Amino acid sequence: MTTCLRRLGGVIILTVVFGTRVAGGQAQSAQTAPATSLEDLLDVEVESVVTAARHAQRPSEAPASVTVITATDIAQFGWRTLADVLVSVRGFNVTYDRNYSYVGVRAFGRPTDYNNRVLVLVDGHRTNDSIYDGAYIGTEFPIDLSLVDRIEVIRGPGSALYGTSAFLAVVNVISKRGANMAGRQVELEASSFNTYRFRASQGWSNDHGGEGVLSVSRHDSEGPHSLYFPEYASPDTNNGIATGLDGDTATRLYGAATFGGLRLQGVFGEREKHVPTASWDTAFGDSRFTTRDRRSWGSASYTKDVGPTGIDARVYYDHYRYTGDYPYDTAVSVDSAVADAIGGEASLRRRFGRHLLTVGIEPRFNLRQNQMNTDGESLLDDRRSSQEVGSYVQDEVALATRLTAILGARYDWWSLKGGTGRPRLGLVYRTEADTAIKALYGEAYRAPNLYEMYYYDANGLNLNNETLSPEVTRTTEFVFEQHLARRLRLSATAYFTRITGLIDPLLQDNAPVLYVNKESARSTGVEVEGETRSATGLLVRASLAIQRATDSASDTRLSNAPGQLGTLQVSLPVWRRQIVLASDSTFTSWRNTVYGERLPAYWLSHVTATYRPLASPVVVGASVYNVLDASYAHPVGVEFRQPAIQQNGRTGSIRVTVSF
Amino acid sequence: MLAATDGASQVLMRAQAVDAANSRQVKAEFIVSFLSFVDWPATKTGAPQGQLLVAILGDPDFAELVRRAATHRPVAGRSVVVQEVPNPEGARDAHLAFIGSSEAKRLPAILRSLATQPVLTVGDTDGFAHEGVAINLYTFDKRIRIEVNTTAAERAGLRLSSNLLRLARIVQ
Repeated sequence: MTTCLRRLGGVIILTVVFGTRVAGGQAQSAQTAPATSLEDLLDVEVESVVTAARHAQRPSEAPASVTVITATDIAQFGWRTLADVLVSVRGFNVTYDRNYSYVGVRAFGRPTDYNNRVLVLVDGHRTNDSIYDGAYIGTEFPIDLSLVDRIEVIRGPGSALYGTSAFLAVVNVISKRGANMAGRQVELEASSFNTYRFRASQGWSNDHGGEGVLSVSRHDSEGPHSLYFPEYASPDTNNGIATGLDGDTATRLYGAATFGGLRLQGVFGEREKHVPTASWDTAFGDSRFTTRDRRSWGSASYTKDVGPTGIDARVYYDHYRYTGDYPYDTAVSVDSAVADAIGGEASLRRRFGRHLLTVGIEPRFNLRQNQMNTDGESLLDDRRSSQEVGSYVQDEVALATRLTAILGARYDWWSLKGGTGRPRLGLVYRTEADTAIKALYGEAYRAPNLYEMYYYDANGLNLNNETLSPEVTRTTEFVFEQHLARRLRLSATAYFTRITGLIDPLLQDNAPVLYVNKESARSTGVEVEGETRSATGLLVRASLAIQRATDSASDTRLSNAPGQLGTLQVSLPVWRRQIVLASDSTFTSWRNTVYGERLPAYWLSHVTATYRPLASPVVVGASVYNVLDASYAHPVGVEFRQPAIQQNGRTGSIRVTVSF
Repeated sequence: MLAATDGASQVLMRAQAVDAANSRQVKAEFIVSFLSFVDWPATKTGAPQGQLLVAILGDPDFAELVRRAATHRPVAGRSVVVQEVPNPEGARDAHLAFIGSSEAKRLPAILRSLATQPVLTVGDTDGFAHEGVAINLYTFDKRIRIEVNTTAAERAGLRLSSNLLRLARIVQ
């Protein structure tokens, strides 16, 4: 009886969640839908967004344009890296130069900026390092995506809450808890180019709110056997053919546990990448060209409600190390950066009548921020340490039943560059049935990073510039989100962004890379997105972004600034819902390289099938990436002789997950 | 529909468990579900025959969600009618009265007004159960949980099913 109820309830809840209970054609269920079992209702996970206002709220209440990607999306579309996820997000594009992946937001993506204009958090911990302010989104991201519960993408400036780097967007990756990772799990994946991934995880939870997850995973790829770079097509550079030079190996360790209000987390990720592109004027075809990146941290956070006041506190230790071997004809130049920091944050949240007030403080002590370069002789030895502290306040005022105003500001002080403060204002109007209209204004800044300010080398490839000032963005945005019916969701956004003092490398022939504050740039655009789920379980989600990013002085388009981006995601359960077929496609319109060459538009489509046999602990998934075998290339930075790097054609992958 | 999914719903549930839902919609489902777990005294009058009345105080948007959740879902042969009421007097004939968090200040007065009536009071605000609301919904670990003030339910002359009580946190 219980099982029967549970099953029945399962169907109903699913349809509640998917909004299809009163479905046309389902005459019987529409007339007398049976009562939902309480057990199943108690099991439904409820949606909330924590990143936009630093506390849990519904996406329609959040003072921002928000996209939430769930573990279900990640599994059914076969996404393997954070880059795979972000390219599916409306208005986002990703480029890969066969070393690092870079995300562009709303037509604004500077090649080789190491993602220093997007703040990537893991459970609230800043993953951007403190040398390049870079964030990892490819295989170098330290968290295995199988451990991710959901990813919140908050568009627009977030500096009023999060400080530097929250410039174009904030991406918060929220990990699975022990209760979602039930028991032991082993996953094996085999893909094209001799690529293998292995993961073993253990999750536990008890009835008193205690839970934990331990996981280890390893990724090993040989990469394409040979790659052709026409810019090097001469006999003394192997006719432009790089053989066996695209290997990629990563190790990831993860542990987390919660005891009452206390949560501990430890993360370690290390990746080694062979670089086939001979960037930075290295010797072509030299297998010694590798980069190694390590990200790790340990943190303890504590959450408690004292009467009407919510308290969050966190302390952490963070470690970052990068080493690159750059082979030149005469010697191998070893480039490295290492950073260690301890820091903390504390925030208080309290409701006073119509006001929900949040205040917080974040001190950080950068114990070392060192950059080195040596080719036997020391070419660079820049050792530094610094302190920074940020404090913020945010007030959410209920002006009327359905109208909320958000007023926020943050002030940051950094021992190397002084202080800066940034505001954020928002109005959110919500009608019945969860329609929201939002008017938002925000400012954000990005302090010049240590690489841009202090990096030089005696080989004359790079010059330092200690006079750099922060770049600043001001964004005005209007958001409209509507649930027309339970089955259809629509949203539309229009924005205008102006960036002043953009920090960008100066492009000069045969001159060293020098970062300067450029005049200004602007980006304007509109985005629309729709999602529908039918009674059969068919999900269709599509978006279109029309955008333009220009250099204000010349009114010319920025490089890597596609004018249109489109996404289309479709998934359909078939064969008694034991198999899910899913396809995800992206369209990227033409864009310029940093040298002004035009790269053609392309469609990219992937298909994934996931088989979950009944009453079996095994899940099997298979994907074909770039199923149409599209030929396309990504624009890259000024350190490449190639204006663009050709991407992979059709590849495949199969994975098996066993829980026990 | 049900026959075709014999067992398959477990697959659905697995898929659903990781897909987040709108918490207010889920709470609305809870409100309708609770109606199946309560016995009202035979003396309960005021509501038309064949109807179960749900009154919503201080949360008009939520009334709409509950109305949708109740559509085409009769409980024990009775259709569920949802009404938005401006004051507790309007809820006296109801079988279930939901009290929104905007009514927190007026809660003692509301409970006094309903004290002599067999009305199941339900809330979704921290502390409501301690203050005398029979069933309160709260969120823990991203899921909605139930707490029951059994004293308040007994005073109202209601008998709650053990199938509800065993899933709830009992506060009094």
